[in-house]
Amino acid sequence: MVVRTCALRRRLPACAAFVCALLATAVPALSGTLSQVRIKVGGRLLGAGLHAQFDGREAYLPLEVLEHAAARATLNRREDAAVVTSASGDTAEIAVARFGGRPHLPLSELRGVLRADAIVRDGVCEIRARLVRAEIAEGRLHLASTFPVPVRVQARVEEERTTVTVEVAGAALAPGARTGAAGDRRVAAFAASDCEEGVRIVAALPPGMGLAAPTDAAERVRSLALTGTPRPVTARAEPMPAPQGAPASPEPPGSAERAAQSPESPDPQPVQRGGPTDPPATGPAAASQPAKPPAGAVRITGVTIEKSDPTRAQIRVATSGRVSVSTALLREPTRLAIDVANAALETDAREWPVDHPFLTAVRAEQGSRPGTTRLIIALAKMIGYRVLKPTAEGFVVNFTTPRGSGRSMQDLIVVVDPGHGGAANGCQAVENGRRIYEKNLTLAVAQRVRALLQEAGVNVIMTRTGDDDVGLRERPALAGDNNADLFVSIHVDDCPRPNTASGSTAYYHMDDASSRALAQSIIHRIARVSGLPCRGARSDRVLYTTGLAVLRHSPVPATLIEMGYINNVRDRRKLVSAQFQQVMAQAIVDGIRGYVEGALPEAELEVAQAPGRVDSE
Amino acid sequence: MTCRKCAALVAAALLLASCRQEPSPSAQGGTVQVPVPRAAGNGVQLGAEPRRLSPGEDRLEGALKALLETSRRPQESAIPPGTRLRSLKVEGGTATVDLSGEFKAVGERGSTGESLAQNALRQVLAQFPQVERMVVLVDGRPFEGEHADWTGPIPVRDESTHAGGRP
Repeated sequence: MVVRTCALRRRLPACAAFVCALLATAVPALSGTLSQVRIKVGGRLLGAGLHAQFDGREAYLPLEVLEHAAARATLNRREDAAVVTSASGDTAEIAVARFGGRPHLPLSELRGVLRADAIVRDGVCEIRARLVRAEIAEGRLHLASTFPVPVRVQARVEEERTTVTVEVAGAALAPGARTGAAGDRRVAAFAASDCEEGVRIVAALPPGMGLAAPTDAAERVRSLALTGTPRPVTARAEPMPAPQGAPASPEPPGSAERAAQSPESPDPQPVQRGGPTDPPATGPAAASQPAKPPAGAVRITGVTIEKSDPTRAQIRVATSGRVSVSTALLREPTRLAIDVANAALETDAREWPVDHPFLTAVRAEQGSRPGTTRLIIALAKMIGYRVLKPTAEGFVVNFTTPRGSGRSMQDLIVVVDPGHGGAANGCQAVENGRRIYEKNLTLAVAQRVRALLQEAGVNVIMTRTGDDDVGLRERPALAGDNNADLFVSIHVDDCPRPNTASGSTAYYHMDDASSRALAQSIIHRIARVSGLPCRGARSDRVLYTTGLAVLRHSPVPATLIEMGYINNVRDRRKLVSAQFQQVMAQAIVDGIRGYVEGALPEAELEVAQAPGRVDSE
Repeated sequence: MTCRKCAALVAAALLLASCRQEPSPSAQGGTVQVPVPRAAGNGVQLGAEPRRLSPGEDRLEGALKALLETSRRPQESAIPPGTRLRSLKVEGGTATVDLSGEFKAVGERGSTGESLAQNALRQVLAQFPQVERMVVLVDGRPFEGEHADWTGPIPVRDESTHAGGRP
């Protein structure tokens, strides 16, 4: 017995280690892999009794949270899944995870059925409704969100105008949201943009007019009437000062589509929202009074503009700590707005002289939120830019002119790549009893592109001229081997569900600014003539973590054009038409010309709603 | 401490473990999420459907097979019809998924269709903490798609901390 006890004592450490390992494996909460986070829905921080469980990747929310988004969940008989019905009427069955016996649902699934934006940050799991419409039409401001959120209206009455600010708390502008005031000529300016607490809409109305106050009831769709009668204005109005949360100057009616959604927006950064305790703007004077930075604000101690050469520039912003930065590209005139949250300017200068071919002015102003400083960089033409990740010392914004631009067509070497070929048929469909292969459509358009480019004096290299199978690495390698300037790949798209997707897309690789400019230039021209929905210029990151192979391996600015969907009847009928192929080819060539000659597209582009964020991924 | 006490301690640990549920699917009573294409706006994106696995079925392999089984309904699957799982191996955080030759048809589904297939595989594997990357073989050989490069290890999760972000 003594012997056995001693043996057991010798084994005790191993036994304890086994028990600890078992506990750590089986109980994530004890092993530190789970944390409880507060929940914010539609701008409202829920009570301490409702917490989400967060494992670093996924947040799990108790079912009771759904009622705050006007949704409901019903457990199935086995209670291992719940059927969730959203305020919009969408339903989905979602597997249940249990914590302490209480059913929870994963946020990644919930956000889909709720049609919501969701983020876990700073100990708070926030769910925002998507604002799908913020539009003035027929004398009313129409608001529609995916679940009810509070709306507040403020007005600032001045001699020459009434500035109305509408705050939709706990919401985010949906991709492709209908915004603007094109239908009402009385509205001198209109802007809708994401802000830290939700969406802020600013409209400039004639003096004497206003906007009806919303009801307190939670509603998903609201319609607020424009009130009053316009008074004549004797003096010309000065440009409206930067309103809360809006771009420095509101866009003209009809062009208020969110900059981050626009194909003109080359590199929007993710919107960095403030912490859950940030106070909302309050009172009618909030829009006009310079707001004081909150306690503990980071200081901006210097702004330096460095001109590397005529094709590049760098702006260095020195700060006393790490800051959150968001950007928006504004139009008319083209300028880049960089919002630095929770930061105060501590320099004597508010404007910095610039002597550069594409940067015309840099100035700082009070940001749209209390404590936010906005840097405005006026641009002479569309350029590429990228904000590097902020550090404790500050952040850097790099500007470049697109590679290969500023030249003549006659100096150009372009590789034109008809997608697929040989045994690689690409996607296919049957039209009028005839099987159609993507490889033939892409070759037909590519040959037309070649002819048009050659007419313009461009040296063209085709990756294939017949029904040949060329490897994905070999295609862009031709660009490097031949010292080419651009690579343009032509494709037709497909998806599992027929007639659900339609239109043209121009992809560029990851964040490559030059390729993005090329894609934007081409898709603009296509959108004007194709008669198909425009899906915009998109980073290939929305498709694959490593991007599209031919773009990834291209040593020169490159784009892949998906002309349309072969499994969409309307798209397919166009794709097989010789007339459409010629129109498409001409648009591609015009886009190449616009890129090379540095011309901005003349008009704003309306981007069709599509999954994923256009130009922002 | 006696053997009995030690056994009691182990039993207590097991009991405690059974009272708590992990967020990963491995402790969700045999249910996994299977990505399926859904119409969304002007396009298609992946949603997820819960699938209950057979008791005792290997969860990772079962989840993959459940995904491949969706190909019986081609318009509701990200996977080409007839695709089967030849083998699955997880080693050092890398899942090597060997699929049957039917999977090659993924290149005939446009860049959208091919990306849905890759992301569906990633989403399935991302449910298992032990998997960080995937290597996809077809008929035992490295696979090159018609739009993307599948030959290297592909991370199954994004680095983003945005909950519910694209995988």
